[in-house]
Amino acid sequence: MKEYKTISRIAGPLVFVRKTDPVAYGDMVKIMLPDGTEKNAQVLDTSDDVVVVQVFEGTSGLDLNSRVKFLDQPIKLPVSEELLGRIFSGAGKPIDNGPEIAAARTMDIAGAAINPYSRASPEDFIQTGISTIDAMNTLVRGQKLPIFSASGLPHNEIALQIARQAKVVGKESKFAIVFAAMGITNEEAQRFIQDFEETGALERSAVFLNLASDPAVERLLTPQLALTTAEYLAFEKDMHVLVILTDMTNFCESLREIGSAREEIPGRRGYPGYMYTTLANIYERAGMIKGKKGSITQLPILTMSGDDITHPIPDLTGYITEGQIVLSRELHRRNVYPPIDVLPSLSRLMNLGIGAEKTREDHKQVSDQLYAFYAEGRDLRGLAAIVGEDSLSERDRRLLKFAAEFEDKFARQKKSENRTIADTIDIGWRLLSEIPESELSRISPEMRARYYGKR
Amino acid sequence: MKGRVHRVAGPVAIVEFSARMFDIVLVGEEKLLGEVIQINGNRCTVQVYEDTTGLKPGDPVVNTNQPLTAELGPGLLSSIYDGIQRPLPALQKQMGDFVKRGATAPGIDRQRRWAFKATAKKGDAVKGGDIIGEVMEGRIVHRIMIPPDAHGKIAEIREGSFTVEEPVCKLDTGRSIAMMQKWPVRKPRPTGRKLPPNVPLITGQRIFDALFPLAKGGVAAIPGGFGTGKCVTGDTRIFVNDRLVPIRKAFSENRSANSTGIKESPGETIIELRKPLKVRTFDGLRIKEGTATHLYRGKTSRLVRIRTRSGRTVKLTPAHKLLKLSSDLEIVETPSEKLKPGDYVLSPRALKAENSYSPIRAGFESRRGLTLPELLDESFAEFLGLFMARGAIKGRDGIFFSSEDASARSRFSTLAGNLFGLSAQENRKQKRQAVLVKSRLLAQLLSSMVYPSKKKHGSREVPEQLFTSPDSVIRDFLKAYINCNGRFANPELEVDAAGKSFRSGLCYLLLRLGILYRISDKSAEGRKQNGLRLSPGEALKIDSRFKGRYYFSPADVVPVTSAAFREIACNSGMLESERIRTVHGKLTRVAASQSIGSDAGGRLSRLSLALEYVFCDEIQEMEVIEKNAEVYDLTVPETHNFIGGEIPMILHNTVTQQSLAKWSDADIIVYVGCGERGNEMTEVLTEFPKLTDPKTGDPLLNRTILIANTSNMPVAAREASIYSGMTLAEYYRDMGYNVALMADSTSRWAEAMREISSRLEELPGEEGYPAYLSARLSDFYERAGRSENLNGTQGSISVIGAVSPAGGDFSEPVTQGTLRSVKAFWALDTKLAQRRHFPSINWLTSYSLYPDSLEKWFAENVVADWREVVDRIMKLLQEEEKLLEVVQLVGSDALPEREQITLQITRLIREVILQQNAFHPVDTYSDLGKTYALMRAILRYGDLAYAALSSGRKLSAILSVKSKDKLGDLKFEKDYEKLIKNITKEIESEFSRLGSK
Repeated sequence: MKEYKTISRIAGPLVFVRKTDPVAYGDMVKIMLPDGTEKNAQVLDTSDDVVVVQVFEGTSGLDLNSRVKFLDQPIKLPVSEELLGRIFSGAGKPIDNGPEIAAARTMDIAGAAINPYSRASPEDFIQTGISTIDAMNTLVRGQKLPIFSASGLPHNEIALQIARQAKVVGKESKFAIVFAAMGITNEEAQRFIQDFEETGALERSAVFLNLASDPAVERLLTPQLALTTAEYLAFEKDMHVLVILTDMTNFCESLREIGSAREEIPGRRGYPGYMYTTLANIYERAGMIKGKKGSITQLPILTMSGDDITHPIPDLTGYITEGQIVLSRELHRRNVYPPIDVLPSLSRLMNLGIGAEKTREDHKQVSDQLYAFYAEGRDLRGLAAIVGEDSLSERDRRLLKFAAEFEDKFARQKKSENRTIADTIDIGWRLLSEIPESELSRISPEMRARYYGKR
Repeated sequence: MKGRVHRVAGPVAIVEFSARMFDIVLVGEEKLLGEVIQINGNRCTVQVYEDTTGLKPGDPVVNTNQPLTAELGPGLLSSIYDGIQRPLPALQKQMGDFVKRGATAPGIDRQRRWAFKATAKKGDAVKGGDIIGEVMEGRIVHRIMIPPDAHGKIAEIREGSFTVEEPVCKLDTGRSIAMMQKWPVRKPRPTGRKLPPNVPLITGQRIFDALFPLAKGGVAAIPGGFGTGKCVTGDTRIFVNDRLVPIRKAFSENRSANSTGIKESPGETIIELRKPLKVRTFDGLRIKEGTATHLYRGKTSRLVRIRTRSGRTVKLTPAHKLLKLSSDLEIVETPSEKLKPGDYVLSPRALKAENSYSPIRAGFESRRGLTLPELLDESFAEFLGLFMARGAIKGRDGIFFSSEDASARSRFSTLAGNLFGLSAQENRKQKRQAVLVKSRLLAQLLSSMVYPSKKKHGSREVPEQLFTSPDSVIRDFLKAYINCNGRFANPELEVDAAGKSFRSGLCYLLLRLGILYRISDKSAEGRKQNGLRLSPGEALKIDSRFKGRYYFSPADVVPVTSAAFREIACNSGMLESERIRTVHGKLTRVAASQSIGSDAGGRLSRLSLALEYVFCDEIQEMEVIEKNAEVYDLTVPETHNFIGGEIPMILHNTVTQQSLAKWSDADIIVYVGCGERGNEMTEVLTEFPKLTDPKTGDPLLNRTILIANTSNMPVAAREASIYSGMTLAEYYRDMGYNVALMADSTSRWAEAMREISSRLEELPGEEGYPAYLSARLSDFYERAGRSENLNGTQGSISVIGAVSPAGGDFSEPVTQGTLRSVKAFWALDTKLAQRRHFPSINWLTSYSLYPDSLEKWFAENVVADWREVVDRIMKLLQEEEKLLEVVQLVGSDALPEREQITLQITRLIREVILQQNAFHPVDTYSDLGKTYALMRAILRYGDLAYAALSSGRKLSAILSVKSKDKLGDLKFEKDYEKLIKNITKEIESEFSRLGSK
């Protein structure tokens, strides 16, 4: 394999190489620095005159004397069940001092679209142990449900908790977690690894860590590696895979960085115009396939800059995913963990996954009722601030109290607290039982007779 | 023309060769499909429809010298394609569940042979577009046309069976013509003269035809979908809130006590329930609890009566569906009129429930002389069972229990003592051995439980507390009852029930325990009775004393075709000599054996799970009854079925996406799903094949083409999908058909354009969309239209484009660009749908610009003053809107008298004209004459009412004119003409009588 010493230009994460033999788009590249260090890169633009490669490890230390080697194959991931229980860098290198992966085979990380004709409809309830998700924004197998967060909010904690606790009730099946971290801090990463090791979750997890100090470009690979792993485990090894991607905002920033380094014409807020497709290519790698036992469920996390939900990243994400879970700074300030604001949150597939045979007969009704009262109680807060609580009617005061209790007892839980769906619904009933039975208009008399005041 | 790749970046490649804009090129060794979108000297920019990883400079590029083409010919209908016309099922076969690169699959099946019938003959001079023959594509006559660029004299033409590539005709120019031709998708197919949009697309839907018409060849925009239901007769019992009530009764009870809204129109009433009702429903695997959100009452002129092997009888509307088990073991929802004797429908086997003891509410306070048990426990149930079998109330003083069996009498006495602290005396009642328990209170208690309607013997009911009792209580009740009132009649156990409604109750109790039975209306001796028969095996489940030979119930048979059975048998190692018609127990065992891997195996194991809850019941008799009847329905939003019927059955009620079936007078439907979520597209692909064609009853898919391109499939293919769909539509138009093209959603298409534009580094316009966005949108919509085709036929393409503006913001460029091009906007309103106003088109926010151009057509083909009538109707509706605002503030009584009359008229308009029942056999299609006559009659009523007011009649008298209400029933009448005249006369005479008072 030929090596070239024809680097003509280095700009940001990009290296321009001249006078090469034909090089294929998307190929893997190795760059050897004079001091012997090696860097990985990928072909981003190839032509007769010049080849542009993006360097995953960053371009610091590179000079025109570095040697460039084109490996003549796209980036592939060696896959096997051994990926479980291991920790990798954002570029897929083991960083847990373990051995290299003995690959069953390698898979192209770019993936391919699932044929719409082959897809199966998602319908199995996943219990995360977090009340506000399980009861109000239920996750089902095969769904992609992002968490819309903002900087300073404990989304990583929530992600960790979900990773520890997620399971499908009543079904013994092979469950695995693929965790892809993009641009998180070293401290957070330590926390993740420690947590995985302590809880034993690591045995059924594959962890890809790209740290904040790691090169930004490497992040572009991380979700692809994670999802390729997930596809292998789900569709070849019959596992139910939960993929957690945090933080998609960092991924999109890297996309923008590459775009601007290539001097592309920027779209909205400087993000490239193809970001919708790039995101769709990631998110749509969730789902179930007819006749296959496994599934891929995605939980992408993204931080909204300036808490702005109309920002292109949450906006485009919302177009592709089936709902969203929104974290609230206000709840966080009031020390509610997890600070999930159920009002703007939504799970489009919730109704497919709940009910008597899947969760509990009263799930939908309780969820509707909690939602209705909480929404009303929250509205009343504004009113109470203006006119004073005393001038509210008795019912209104009750709802105000309900909203507070909802946040305190239902939404708030410990980081280690793994509530079953039955517990969650029972807590809901306990809150509802504070309200006169006749006011529970969203709940049928039978359910009230069975549960009201009895939990 | 060969070239080489110069540069690759993302989905865009720069290729060195000379090409024309929009030529299709095959890039690289894998021959990835691409399209030339920019030319710069000898370098062309190519957008590649697939992932470009692995392409490198120097790779060969072949120019096909053809733009992106669609394959046109027989075999298009009922296909499912991706955005560049590759059939998705074929791709799945070829490459598995993922769409990989470099896959090719022809748009049209090359192997299939079609029977070609020539309509032209040797020597005929032909030119592009001329029809030379026909092929039957299902029910559609597929006309084979000369490709637009060919002409000459026919030198040879052959008839017979051909594939689409075999030449069927030779021209004297030497060119041979096959049935298949190709056409570039971005180029409109040539047509002759464009015809003005002056013929309406008649939908048979009054609101469209009258108020917001779409012309043939017109374009409309719409957002979303809606649904409607089907019905059973009023005496059908339903199991709601653990009670067994006739649906008619449930309707009247809930109407007053439990509704948040009642929507009434002549012939139809819908109750929106405040508290949903609990029903039992079958979800395909098991019977579970569900909720009903609406109750409905309507009318029908036709019923279907079905009787099954197990003796179940039910009357339903022809459109009402039952769950049929097909011979390849699939559960198919089938309208009752499509069923036939010999079909198997699913009936419920078991209604499992975990109940606790029901309390006994005595209905009287005093407990003197009577210890009243608080709960209905096993011994109370046994007492009730004995009493219902052989007991009677003696006047007001006490109860009798007569039986020749001394042990039964003594048991009855013991129970009376234990339960109520009452002593029983032996007594001879008319020569029969009996015991008498004297207690007025007990007599009262039992009569309130057993005769809830306070009538005589015939109306005995199973005490409703039993339905909510634990299984053991039910079993003891049945045991006691059957011991007294059952007998073995070789070899079955025959149980006589007193009265039909009592039998119905017994059936539900048996259902609770999962015990199968047959209905028998004659006893073994030939007496008429309301009986039930249980096979010994089933009887044993009630009481082990009912011993007999173990024997399967003849009702419990699962139909399996020999082919499906053989497949199962081979896979499971079962012998072929086993009976083909097998029974449930065996089937479950087969399914439980591990080795089944086939498709049939999957269906089998699903079915065997479901067989815990349901069984297969063969239809033995069917009869269509022509009569007018009231019919009822429940809305069960999740599963669309509920358990009901005198003898329990699974009754289906569908909420179907009707939005497409509405365009039923279009001959062909093309649906383009562009950039949708993968899981949502799955819903379309599974739901669509279930829709039936209201005209023929065939699957709607038979005259539909589906194009599906999800958001992660290559962006260039998404951009192309809209054009592919349009080209297919144009091809059928050229045959002389009226085609409806649904594009869902054009917003995603615009996004694809935005993305490609940014790849080309074009300067962005508004919100990053390319500056040519609105030009592309209008170009696309321009391809709609009605035209005289080259071959002299006339055809049209009507486009209905869905828009999904981000956050409902209608000012964004795609919606604005669309609204500039379309001439009709149908605002679907979910609020109307929730109120069960169908079709749920909001008449205030919708608009159509076609009435002007269609005015002449209506005047000539329907009636001269059509437009005038429509305008008056529209004006009234607009006035209503303003008045309703006032009413909101001050109440309707405060309105001036004239305005109160106006509201009365517009209520009639909404209920008679705007609402339409898609499932009523007559109302589903309203021809223009009828639509007109209805409008005319309402306006006539209005005129009379206004005139009466100005001549000084009292408002209350005017408003109470009765005969106007008959207008509402008119829409359900086939021969409306005479009726309308009569009713109009009646209204007139009622008004003139007002005058004379």
